[in-house]
Amino acid sequence: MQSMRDNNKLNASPVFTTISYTLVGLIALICLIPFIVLVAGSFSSETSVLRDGYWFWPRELSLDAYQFIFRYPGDVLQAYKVSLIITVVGTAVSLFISSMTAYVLCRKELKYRNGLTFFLFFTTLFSGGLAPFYIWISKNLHMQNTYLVLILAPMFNVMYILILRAFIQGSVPEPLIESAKIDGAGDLRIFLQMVLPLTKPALASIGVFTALAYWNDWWTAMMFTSKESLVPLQYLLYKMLSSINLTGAMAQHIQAADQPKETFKLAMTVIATGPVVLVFPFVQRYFVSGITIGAVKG
Amino acid sequence: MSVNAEASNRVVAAPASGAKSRKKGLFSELKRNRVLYAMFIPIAVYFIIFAYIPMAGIIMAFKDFNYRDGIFGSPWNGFANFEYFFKSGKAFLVTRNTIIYNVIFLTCYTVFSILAAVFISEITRKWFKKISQTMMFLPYFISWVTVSAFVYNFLNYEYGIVNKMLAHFSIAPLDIYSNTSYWYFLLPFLYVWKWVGYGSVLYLAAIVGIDQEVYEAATIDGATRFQKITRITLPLLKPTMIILILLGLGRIMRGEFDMFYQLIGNNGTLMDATDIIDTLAFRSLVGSADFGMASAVGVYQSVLTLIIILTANWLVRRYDKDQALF
Amino acid sequence: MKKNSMLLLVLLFTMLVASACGNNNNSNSPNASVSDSSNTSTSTSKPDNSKEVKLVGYLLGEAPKGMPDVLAALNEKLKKDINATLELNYIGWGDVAAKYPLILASGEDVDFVFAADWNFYVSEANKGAFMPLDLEKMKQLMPKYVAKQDPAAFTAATVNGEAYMIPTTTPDRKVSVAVIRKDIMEKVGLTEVKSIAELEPYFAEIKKNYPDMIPLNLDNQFDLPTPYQYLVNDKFNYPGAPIDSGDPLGQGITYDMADATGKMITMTDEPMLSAQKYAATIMKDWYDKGYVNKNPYSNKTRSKDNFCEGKSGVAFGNSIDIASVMSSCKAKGIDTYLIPTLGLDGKSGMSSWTANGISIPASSKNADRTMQALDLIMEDESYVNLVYFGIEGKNYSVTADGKLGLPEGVTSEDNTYPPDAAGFWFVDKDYFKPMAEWTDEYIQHHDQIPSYLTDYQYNGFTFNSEKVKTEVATLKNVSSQYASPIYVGIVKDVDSAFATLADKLKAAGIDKVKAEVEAQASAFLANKG
Repeated sequence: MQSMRDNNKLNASPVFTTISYTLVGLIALICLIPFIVLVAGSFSSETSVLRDGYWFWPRELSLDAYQFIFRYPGDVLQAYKVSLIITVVGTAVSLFISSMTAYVLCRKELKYRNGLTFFLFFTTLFSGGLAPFYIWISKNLHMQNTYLVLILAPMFNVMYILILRAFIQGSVPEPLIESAKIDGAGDLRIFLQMVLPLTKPALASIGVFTALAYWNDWWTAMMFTSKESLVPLQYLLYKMLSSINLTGAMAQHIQAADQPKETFKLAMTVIATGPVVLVFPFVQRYFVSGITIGAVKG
Repeated sequence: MSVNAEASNRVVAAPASGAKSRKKGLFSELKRNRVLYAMFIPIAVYFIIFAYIPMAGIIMAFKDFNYRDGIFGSPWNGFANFEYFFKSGKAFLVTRNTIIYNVIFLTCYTVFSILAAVFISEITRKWFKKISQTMMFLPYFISWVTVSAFVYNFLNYEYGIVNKMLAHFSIAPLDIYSNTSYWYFLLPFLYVWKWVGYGSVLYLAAIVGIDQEVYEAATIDGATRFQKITRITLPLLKPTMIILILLGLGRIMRGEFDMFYQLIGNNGTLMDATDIIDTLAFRSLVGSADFGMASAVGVYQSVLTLIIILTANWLVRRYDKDQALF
Repeated sequence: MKKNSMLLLVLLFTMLVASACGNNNNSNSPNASVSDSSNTSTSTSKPDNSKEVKLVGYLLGEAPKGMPDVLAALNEKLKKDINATLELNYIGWGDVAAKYPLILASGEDVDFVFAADWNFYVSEANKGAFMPLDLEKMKQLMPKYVAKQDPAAFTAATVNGEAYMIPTTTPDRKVSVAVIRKDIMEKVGLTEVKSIAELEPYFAEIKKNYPDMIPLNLDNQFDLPTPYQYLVNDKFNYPGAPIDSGDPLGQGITYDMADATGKMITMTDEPMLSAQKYAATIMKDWYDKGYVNKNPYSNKTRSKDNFCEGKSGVAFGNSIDIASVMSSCKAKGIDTYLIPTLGLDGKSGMSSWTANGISIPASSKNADRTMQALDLIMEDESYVNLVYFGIEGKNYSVTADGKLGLPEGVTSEDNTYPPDAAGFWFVDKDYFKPMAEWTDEYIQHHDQIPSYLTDYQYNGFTFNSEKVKTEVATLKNVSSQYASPIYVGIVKDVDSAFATLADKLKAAGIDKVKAEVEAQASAFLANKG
């Protein structure tokens, strides 16, 4: 790996390097600017956002939105905890089973592998819809108000399984597997000791997506939980937002107009995104450095 | 390069062993590959429980659903639930719009994701790489509601930032929200903006997954960096690209409802140009909570998608069997 | 697909509330008020409460932080009075459209659930979600309620010949209002405003001297059709939303509230058409002059929310939700003037009973006890104060002049049980006391409301769209494309816009809907006698 980086530097062309840096820098900037506006807005007073719109820095510094979110800090911390548990457990199990399935689906000796793939893919095209799903889960399986449903319902994404399959096909050479088989290794061992290490970048990227899906999932919680101790962060924020927006319609008695509405939306994005942006760099190293098959072969 | 070439040679040889086992039938196939089939069991069980069993509820689209009789006992009503969609006189228009927008989105998304991934991989300074990639990911977290608030703030006629700047130079203000032509550009732009970080991660993973020995060999042969991209990186990205496009086609009838709904809403002046299947269904069913009618559009979308995906898969299969979905 | 259809459903909620504020909309068929089928009542005199039961209820919104304390107090009372306790669950505002029908569809163990005509009442009743109510039994189990309730309320709650809702005894007392700024009024010499049509000079002044303010800064849901509707009201008394869909943005079937014959017309028939053209011409004029924001479809901030910030010249709302706007403007030093929107006769139709109520799901096993509990919660003053305002001395206090205020040391921000928030909007509001923080201007309006409200022929008529649901869906769709530009004033030519609209409505099957509305309406009138 070390030699690789040196080689790249050896025949570096300055023009090309400049283009790369400029282009990547430019795209990154376009993506960053709205986020800066968002963070600035979240620290502004509601009045200044309504009056003057959004800007790159807070025109009237205020912590109202955050104070509103953290009115009951215990709830927010509990929600962080629930989200964390779901995300960690769910991603680990999902990633393991997804990649195992992906490995199975790319084994050529499996006669029915296309049929099995279609069995999975079909579920992305057709679904029974909301009502049957809800009735089945809550009335027949009695899974409402459990961690189980929060973890299981969003667990697998067929797209990710198929992407993993493509990655395994692309980065684990068939002869390697064949020779391991000749050496007497079983499929499970090949999967664990060869396929998993060689597909690290793919696992990292699919892992990020799966984790994000869990982290952002408020829908499962909305449908299947009514207990406060099981409310994940995104659902907590979503609930706060909708109650700010809508209780006003029924409110003759509340001073609803003084609640931060616009800035709340922004602050809630900051609160939910913050931890992810902090954790992301740790996963990134898998995309930053390459894989050498020789390393696994030995 | 050699390792990959070898791999694909093997692939061609593989079906021969499959042909042999065909004679022996299902039972011996299961027995012979019992470990592999056993490894498939967890996912099979999951999808049976969480997808196939509730899928039976799809019959609701053809029923006049009531709670007394339940899903299976409710009376059939043929295609009555579909009528509102086809009688709207816009079924063809919105289907066409949905497909066109998704094809444009998918194309732009693929091109920009690959571009971003290739250039990121060319950057040697780790901190720059990490930071820029993180930055590209940020839009993913900004919901369409917030995006639409920003866009409105930026582009609205009276006090939008763009028009304020134009006024500064004494240029007539733009009325973007009453003019379809701006949106043909804006919508794909925003789509790419939101998803490019997400998409580039996958392509970057594919690039990083390429065996580094291949590049080293090329360097020794005196290849320039540009040559390495066009001759090694891009061809090796093709399988990933094909699979991602095929999977993208699997969503071609849906499309980013939230984006259209939040950005355009019920804007009558833009509607013919920006109405997609989901927005039409939403507008028609607002406040009625009719399960049958809601799932009817879903069935329509699913059937069309199935046709499209089977055709695309068949085409890919003819071209290269290994890159097809199934 | 799963996620997609959900998104769809989930987003419905915003529209729902818009229509909730709109008016006493919609639906249904007549016939007997409350069924007197006598298959159940076995116990004759005193209900048998020897077995303790737990009643499970669903309300809308969010449980306030102080709910556990209030619920404990409530359960203590209920246990003593009828040997029952409550378990309360909440369906969040954002979840209503997705979750409410599902809870009923799945047949879970639920004993009572909030019901309202703007919240799927008729369609859920059609699908058999609720238990039909028996008046004889109610007399026995809910004596206070039956004594207070107007029999017409049961007619209003009737769907396919049975009543499935226990409607509130005190329908909301509210009218649609517009609030403007007194300082600008004085500048242009306006002293009294009856209709927003008179606001032309007020708008011109804003346009000229207040560069940051837009006279009519409309949002994409509530405000969008509002000034237009107010203008139509100057010429034609109509209920605000078409009777078929109840969607304030929609076009459909309506009637003249002052017309004794009760004739149903489509909104593109005379005299409604002329009234619409009158309003459309004014809106177009205002739009062309730049009095209306150019892009209301993408604006999500209601005028009442940025009115006090000086971004909007008019705040639109109703008697109930405008109270807080007036208070917070006053805090910022802005004096306001309130224009109630009344018909030609200076009256406004009263709100329907069915806008707030409770239903008992068909799956309930404790219907008898639930009714007893509801009788207390809705009509017993101590219960009403407890569930609506919380615990005295902790969540509210009564001031010397009989108004409701906050106890010493409690602010409206840290009150753990704010009024209105717990979802008990169906209780008897006659027990409510005025709030200490209301502005004088508002109290004046509040006291006048009863004199504005009037009964009308179709009060309590709810249209059951089951037979024409395809057409109703198509009408909604056509309206949002061809009618909403008219509301805002974007159209190039008013006459041709209405010609197109009428054609499209006809193609969408408006005549079929009209026939169905007429059939149900005449049955309703015949039944009313």
